[in-house]
Amino acid sequence: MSKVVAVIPAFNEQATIQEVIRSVRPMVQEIIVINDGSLDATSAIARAEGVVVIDHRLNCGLGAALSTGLHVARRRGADFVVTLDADGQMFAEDIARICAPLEEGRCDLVIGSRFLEGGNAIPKRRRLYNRIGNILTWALFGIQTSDSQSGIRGFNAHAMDSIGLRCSRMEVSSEFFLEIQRRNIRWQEVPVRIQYTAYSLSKGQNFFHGVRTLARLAMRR
Amino acid sequence: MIFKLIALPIIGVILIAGVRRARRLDRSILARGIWLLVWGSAAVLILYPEITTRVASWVGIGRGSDLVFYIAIIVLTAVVLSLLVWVDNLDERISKLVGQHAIEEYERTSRDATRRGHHPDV
Repeated sequence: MSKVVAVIPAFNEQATIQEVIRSVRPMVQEIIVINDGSLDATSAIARAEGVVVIDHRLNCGLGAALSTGLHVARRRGADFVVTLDADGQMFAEDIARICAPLEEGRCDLVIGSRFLEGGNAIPKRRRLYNRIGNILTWALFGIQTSDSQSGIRGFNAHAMDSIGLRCSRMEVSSEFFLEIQRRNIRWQEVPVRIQYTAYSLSKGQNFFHGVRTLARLAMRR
Repeated sequence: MIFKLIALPIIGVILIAGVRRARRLDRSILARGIWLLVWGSAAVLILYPEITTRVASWVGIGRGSDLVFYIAIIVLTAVVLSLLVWVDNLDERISKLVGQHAIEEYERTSRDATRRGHHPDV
Protein backbone atom coordinates (compact mmCIF):
# COMPACT_ATOMS: atom_id res chain seq x y z
CA MET A 1 0.00 0.00 0.00
CA SER A 2 1.28 3.46 -0.90
CA LYS A 3 2.30 5.79 1.88
CA VAL A 4 0.53 9.15 1.66
CA VAL A 5 1.96 11.91 3.82
CA ALA A 6 0.45 15.32 4.52
CA VAL A 7 2.90 18.19 4.92
CA ILE A 8 1.45 21.19 6.75
CA PRO A 9 3.59 24.32 6.98
CA ALA A 10 2.48 26.41 9.95
CA PHE A 11 3.39 29.83 11.27
CA ASN A 12 1.52 31.06 14.35
CA GLU A 13 -1.46 28.80 13.69
CA GLN A 14 -2.40 27.80 17.25
CA ALA A 15 -6.02 28.72 16.55
CA THR A 16 -6.47 26.20 13.74
CA ILE A 17 -3.65 23.63 13.73
CA GLN A 18 -5.39 21.08 15.97
CA GLU A 19 -8.56 21.09 13.90
CA VAL A 20 -6.58 20.83 10.66
CA ILE A 21 -4.54 17.86 11.94
CA ARG A 22 -7.66 16.06 13.18
CA SER A 23 -9.47 16.57 9.88
CA VAL A 24 -6.48 15.43 7.80
CA ARG A 25 -5.56 12.39 9.92
CA PRO A 26 -8.11 9.93 8.46
CA MET A 27 -7.00 10.79 4.93
CA VAL A 28 -3.25 10.01 5.19
CA GLN A 29 -0.78 7.59 6.76
CA GLU A 30 1.39 10.31 8.32
CA ILE A 31 1.27 14.03 9.03
CA ILE A 32 4.35 16.26 9.12
CA VAL A 33 3.92 19.75 10.54
CA ILE A 34 6.66 22.22 9.72
CA ASN A 35 6.51 24.78 12.48
CA ASP A 36 8.09 27.75 10.74
CA GLY A 37 9.41 29.73 13.70
CA SER A 38 6.03 30.24 15.35
CA LEU A 39 5.98 32.37 18.47
CA ASP A 40 2.78 30.81 19.79
CA ALA A 41 1.82 27.28 20.85
CA THR A 42 1.59 25.84 17.31
CA SER A 43 4.45 23.39 17.84
CA ALA A 44 3.23 22.19 21.26
CA ILE A 45 -0.34 21.66 20.00
CA ALA A 46 0.89 19.69 16.98
CA ARG A 47 3.17 17.55 19.16
CA ALA A 48 0.29 16.81 21.52
CA GLU A 49 -1.60 15.45 18.50
CA GLY A 50 1.19 12.91 17.98
CA VAL A 51 2.29 14.01 14.53
CA VAL A 52 5.84 14.56 13.28
CA VAL A 53 6.82 18.14 14.08
CA ILE A 54 9.88 19.80 12.55
CA ASP A 55 10.76 23.12 14.14
CA HIS A 56 12.38 25.89 12.12
CA ARG A 57 14.15 28.08 14.67
CA LEU A 58 13.48 31.14 12.50
CA ASN A 59 10.51 32.10 10.40
CA CYS A 60 11.85 31.40 6.91
CA GLY A 61 8.62 31.49 4.94
CA LEU A 62 6.23 29.16 3.16
CA GLY A 63 8.74 28.10 0.50
CA ALA A 64 11.38 27.10 3.04
CA ALA A 65 8.80 25.20 5.11
CA LEU A 66 7.53 23.30 2.06
CA SER A 67 11.08 22.51 1.01
CA THR A 68 11.87 21.07 4.45
CA GLY A 69 8.56 19.21 4.50
CA LEU A 70 9.08 17.54 1.12
CA HIS A 71 12.62 16.58 2.11
CA VAL A 72 11.53 15.03 5.41
CA ALA A 73 8.58 13.25 3.81
CA ARG A 74 10.88 11.66 1.25
CA ARG A 75 13.33 10.57 3.94
CA ARG A 76 10.46 8.99 5.81
CA GLY A 77 9.50 6.91 2.80
CA ALA A 78 6.53 8.84 1.44
CA ASP A 79 5.22 7.66 -1.92
CA PHE A 80 2.88 10.62 -2.26
CA VAL A 81 2.82 13.92 -0.44
CA VAL A 82 -0.01 16.40 -0.15
CA THR A 83 0.88 19.87 1.08
CA LEU A 84 -1.83 22.07 2.51
CA ASP A 85 -2.17 25.26 4.50
CA ALA A 86 -2.64 25.24 8.27
CA ASP A 87 -5.19 28.04 8.37
CA GLY A 88 -8.15 25.69 8.00
CA GLN A 89 -9.46 26.96 4.69
CA MET A 90 -8.88 23.74 2.74
CA PHE A 91 -11.10 20.66 3.04
CA ALA A 92 -9.28 17.48 4.08
CA GLU A 93 -11.66 15.41 1.92
CA ASP A 94 -10.01 16.96 -1.16
CA ILE A 95 -6.80 15.05 -0.35
CA ALA A 96 -8.38 11.99 -2.00
CA ARG A 97 -9.05 14.02 -5.17
CA ILE A 98 -5.46 15.26 -5.16
CA CYS A 99 -4.04 11.76 -4.71
CA ALA A 100 -6.16 9.96 -7.30
CA PRO A 101 -4.26 11.10 -10.45
CA LEU A 102 -0.93 10.47 -8.68
CA GLU A 103 -1.87 6.95 -7.61
CA GLU A 104 -3.16 6.16 -11.08
CA GLY A 105 0.18 7.35 -12.52
CA ARG A 106 -1.47 9.99 -14.71
CA CYS A 107 0.85 12.77 -13.54
CA ASP A 108 3.67 13.64 -11.14
CA LEU A 109 2.25 16.77 -9.58
CA VAL A 110 -1.31 17.86 -8.86
CA ILE A 111 -2.47 21.40 -8.18
CA GLY A 112 -5.75 21.81 -6.35
CA SER A 113 -7.65 24.57 -8.12
CA ARG A 114 -10.29 26.69 -6.43
CA PHE A 115 -11.56 27.92 -9.78
CA LEU A 116 -12.32 24.76 -11.78
CA GLU A 117 -15.75 24.25 -10.24
CA GLY A 118 -18.26 26.85 -9.18
CA GLY A 119 -19.50 27.14 -5.64
CA ASN A 120 -16.41 28.51 -3.94
CA ALA A 121 -17.14 31.92 -2.42
CA ILE A 122 -13.84 33.59 -3.22
CA PRO A 123 -13.47 37.30 -2.39
CA LYS A 124 -13.14 39.55 -5.44
CA ARG A 125 -9.73 40.79 -4.39
CA ARG A 126 -8.43 37.21 -4.13
CA ARG A 127 -9.79 36.45 -7.57
CA LEU A 128 -8.02 39.50 -8.97
CA TYR A 129 -4.66 38.64 -7.33
CA ASN A 130 -4.92 35.09 -8.57
CA ARG A 131 -5.77 36.22 -12.10
CA ILE A 132 -2.71 38.50 -12.13
CA GLY A 133 -0.65 35.58 -10.78
CA ASN A 134 -1.97 33.32 -13.54
CA ILE A 135 -1.06 35.86 -16.24
CA LEU A 136 2.44 36.27 -14.78
CA THR A 137 2.87 32.48 -14.56
CA TRP A 138 1.96 32.23 -18.23
CA ALA A 139 4.20 35.18 -19.19
CA LEU A 140 7.21 34.00 -17.17
CA PHE A 141 6.97 30.21 -17.53
CA GLY A 142 4.61 29.64 -20.46
CA ILE A 143 2.22 27.58 -18.33
CA GLN A 144 -1.52 28.14 -18.26
CA THR A 145 -3.12 27.50 -14.88
CA SER A 146 -6.41 28.42 -13.29
CA ASP A 147 -4.92 28.70 -9.78
CA SER A 148 -1.30 29.81 -9.60
CA GLN A 149 -1.62 30.59 -5.87
CA SER A 150 -3.20 27.34 -4.76
CA GLY A 151 -2.56 26.21 -1.20
CA ILE A 152 -3.00 22.48 -1.79
CA ARG A 153 -0.79 20.32 -4.01
CA GLY A 154 0.16 16.70 -4.44
CA PHE A 155 3.50 15.17 -5.42
CA ASN A 156 4.73 11.71 -6.32
CA ALA A 157 8.28 10.54 -5.62
CA HIS A 158 9.55 11.70 -9.02
CA ALA A 159 8.24 15.24 -8.46
CA MET A 160 9.64 15.36 -4.93
CA ASP A 161 13.07 14.24 -6.12
CA SER A 162 13.12 16.55 -9.13
CA ILE A 163 11.88 19.81 -7.67
CA GLY A 164 14.51 22.10 -6.18
CA LEU A 165 12.85 25.04 -4.48
CA ARG A 166 14.88 28.20 -4.04
CA CYS A 167 12.21 30.76 -3.17
CA SER A 168 11.68 30.76 0.57
CA ARG A 169 8.61 32.99 0.83
CA MET A 170 5.12 33.16 -0.68
CA GLU A 171 6.47 33.26 -4.24
CA VAL A 172 7.05 29.51 -3.98
CA SER A 173 3.48 29.01 -5.27
CA SER A 174 4.59 30.36 -8.64
CA GLU A 175 8.02 28.74 -8.40
CA PHE A 176 6.38 25.32 -8.61
CA PHE A 177 5.37 26.21 -12.18
CA LEU A 178 8.93 27.20 -13.00
CA GLU A 179 10.05 23.79 -11.77
CA ILE A 180 7.27 22.07 -13.73
CA GLN A 181 8.56 23.77 -16.86
CA ARG A 182 12.27 23.18 -16.17
CA ARG A 183 12.04 19.54 -15.06
CA ASN A 184 9.39 18.46 -17.55
CA ILE A 185 7.10 17.37 -14.74
CA ARG A 186 3.70 15.97 -15.78
CA TRP A 187 1.05 17.93 -13.96
CA GLN A 188 -2.66 18.50 -13.81
CA GLU A 189 -5.25 20.46 -11.89
CA VAL A 190 -8.13 19.01 -9.92
CA PRO A 191 -11.00 21.02 -8.46
CA VAL A 192 -10.93 21.66 -4.72
CA ARG A 193 -13.22 23.48 -2.34
CA ILE A 194 -12.24 26.31 -0.05
CA GLN A 195 -13.81 28.14 2.85
CA TYR A 196 -12.59 31.62 3.65
CA THR A 197 -12.84 32.88 7.19
CA ALA A 198 -11.88 36.23 8.69
CA TYR A 199 -8.89 34.38 10.18
CA SER A 200 -7.67 32.83 6.93
CA LEU A 201 -8.15 36.09 5.03
CA SER A 202 -6.01 37.91 7.58
CA LYS A 203 -3.18 35.43 6.96
CA GLY A 204 -3.20 35.55 3.17
CA GLN A 205 -1.33 37.55 0.58
CA ASN A 206 -1.81 41.22 -0.19
CA PHE A 207 -0.84 43.58 -3.00
CA PHE A 208 2.69 44.15 -1.67
CA HIS A 209 3.30 40.41 -1.42
CA GLY A 210 2.37 40.31 -5.10
CA VAL A 211 4.86 43.01 -6.08
CA ARG A 212 7.62 41.30 -4.10
CA THR A 213 6.68 37.96 -5.64
CA LEU A 214 6.96 39.41 -9.13
CA ALA A 215 10.40 40.90 -8.41
CA ARG A 216 11.71 37.66 -6.94
CA LEU A 217 10.32 35.48 -9.71
CA ALA A 218 11.80 37.75 -12.37
CA MET A 219 15.19 37.35 -10.66
CA ARG A 220 14.70 33.61 -10.28
CA ARG A 221 13.73 33.35 -13.97
CA MET B 1 36.35 75.79 -5.51
CA ILE B 2 35.69 74.68 -1.91
CA PHE B 3 33.43 71.89 -3.18
CA LYS B 4 36.17 70.65 -5.52
CA LEU B 5 38.74 70.72 -2.70
CA ILE B 6 36.46 68.62 -0.51
CA ALA B 7 34.92 66.27 -3.10
CA LEU B 8 37.97 65.35 -5.18
CA PRO B 9 40.10 63.94 -2.32
CA ILE B 10 37.09 61.97 -1.07
CA ILE B 11 36.51 60.51 -4.54
CA GLY B 12 40.24 59.75 -4.79
CA VAL B 13 40.15 57.80 -1.53
CA ILE B 14 36.99 55.92 -2.60
CA LEU B 15 38.56 55.05 -5.96
CA ILE B 16 41.81 53.76 -4.50
CA ALA B 17 40.10 51.88 -1.67
CA GLY B 18 37.66 50.33 -4.15
CA VAL B 19 40.38 49.18 -6.52
CA ARG B 20 42.45 47.70 -3.66
CA ARG B 21 39.40 45.93 -2.26
CA ALA B 22 38.48 44.57 -5.71
CA ARG B 23 42.03 43.23 -6.12
CA ARG B 24 41.94 41.65 -2.63
CA LEU B 25 38.55 39.99 -3.27
CA ASP B 26 39.58 39.03 -6.80
CA ARG B 27 36.63 40.83 -8.41
CA SER B 28 36.07 40.62 -12.17
CA ILE B 29 37.54 43.11 -14.64
CA LEU B 30 33.97 44.25 -15.40
CA ALA B 31 33.23 45.02 -11.74
CA ARG B 32 36.50 46.97 -11.42
CA GLY B 33 35.74 48.80 -14.68
CA ILE B 34 32.26 49.84 -13.50
CA TRP B 35 33.71 51.11 -10.22
CA LEU B 36 36.37 53.13 -12.05
CA LEU B 37 33.84 54.44 -14.57
CA VAL B 38 31.32 55.64 -11.97
CA TRP B 39 33.78 57.37 -9.64
CA GLY B 40 36.10 58.53 -12.44
CA SER B 41 33.12 60.14 -14.19
CA ALA B 42 32.12 61.83 -10.93
CA ALA B 43 35.64 63.30 -10.60
CA VAL B 44 35.68 64.51 -14.21
CA LEU B 45 32.23 66.11 -13.87
CA ILE B 46 33.26 67.88 -10.69
CA LEU B 47 36.36 69.24 -12.44
CA TYR B 48 34.51 70.17 -15.66
CA PRO B 49 30.78 70.65 -14.81
CA GLU B 50 30.09 72.27 -18.19
CA ILE B 51 30.42 68.79 -19.78
CA THR B 52 27.05 67.83 -18.23
CA THR B 53 25.33 70.82 -19.91
CA ARG B 54 26.84 69.90 -23.27
CA VAL B 55 25.86 66.24 -22.97
CA ALA B 56 22.39 67.19 -21.66
CA SER B 57 21.65 69.45 -24.62
CA TRP B 58 23.02 66.77 -26.98
CA VAL B 59 20.60 64.14 -25.62
CA GLY B 60 17.78 66.70 -25.39
CA ILE B 61 17.36 66.86 -21.61
CA GLY B 62 18.09 70.56 -21.17
CA ARG B 63 19.97 71.32 -17.97
CA GLY B 64 23.14 69.49 -16.92
CA SER B 65 21.86 69.09 -13.36
CA ASP B 66 18.82 67.20 -14.70
CA LEU B 67 21.13 64.82 -16.55
CA VAL B 68 23.12 64.17 -13.36
CA PHE B 69 19.85 63.63 -11.48
CA TYR B 70 18.59 61.06 -14.00
CA ILE B 71 21.90 59.22 -14.07
CA ALA B 72 21.93 59.16 -10.26
CA ILE B 73 18.44 57.59 -10.25
CA ILE B 74 19.57 54.90 -12.71
CA VAL B 75 22.73 54.14 -10.71
CA LEU B 76 20.83 54.02 -7.40
CA THR B 77 18.19 51.72 -8.91
CA ALA B 78 20.95 49.38 -10.09
CA VAL B 79 22.49 49.45 -6.60
CA VAL B 80 19.14 48.69 -4.95
CA LEU B 81 18.51 45.80 -7.35
CA SER B 82 21.93 44.30 -6.75
CA LEU B 83 21.35 44.60 -2.99
CA LEU B 84 17.97 42.91 -3.42
CA VAL B 85 19.63 40.00 -5.23
CA TRP B 86 22.28 39.81 -2.51
CA VAL B 87 19.68 39.82 0.28
CA ASP B 88 17.63 37.22 -1.59
CA ASN B 89 20.63 34.90 -1.92
CA LEU B 90 21.35 35.38 1.77
CA ASP B 91 17.72 34.61 2.62
CA GLU B 92 17.90 31.43 0.55
CA ARG B 93 21.08 30.28 2.29
CA ILE B 94 19.74 31.05 5.77
CA SER B 95 16.52 29.18 4.98
CA LYS B 96 18.48 26.13 3.82
CA LEU B 97 20.57 26.23 6.98
CA VAL B 98 17.50 26.55 9.22
CA GLY B 99 15.81 23.65 7.38
CA GLN B 100 18.87 21.40 7.67
CA HIS B 101 19.25 22.25 11.34
CA ALA B 102 15.58 21.50 12.00
CA ILE B 103 15.84 18.10 10.30
CA GLU B 104 19.04 17.19 12.15
CA GLU B 105 17.54 18.26 15.46
CA TYR B 106 14.41 16.19 14.81
CA GLU B 107 16.43 13.10 13.85
CA ARG B 108 18.67 13.46 16.90
CA THR B 109 15.66 13.79 19.19
CA SER B 110 14.03 10.76 17.51
CA ARG B 111 17.18 8.67 17.96
CA ASP B 112 17.40 9.64 21.64
CA ALA B 113 13.72 8.82 22.17
CA THR B 114 14.13 5.44 20.45
CA ARG B 115 17.14 4.67 22.63
CA ARG B 116 15.05 5.49 25.72
CA GLY B 117 12.33 3.19 24.43
CA HIS B 118 9.80 5.85 23.50
CA HIS B 119 8.04 6.10 20.18
CA PRO B 120 9.94 8.87 18.34
CA ASP B 121 6.90 10.74 17.02
CA VAL B 122 4.84 10.94 20.16
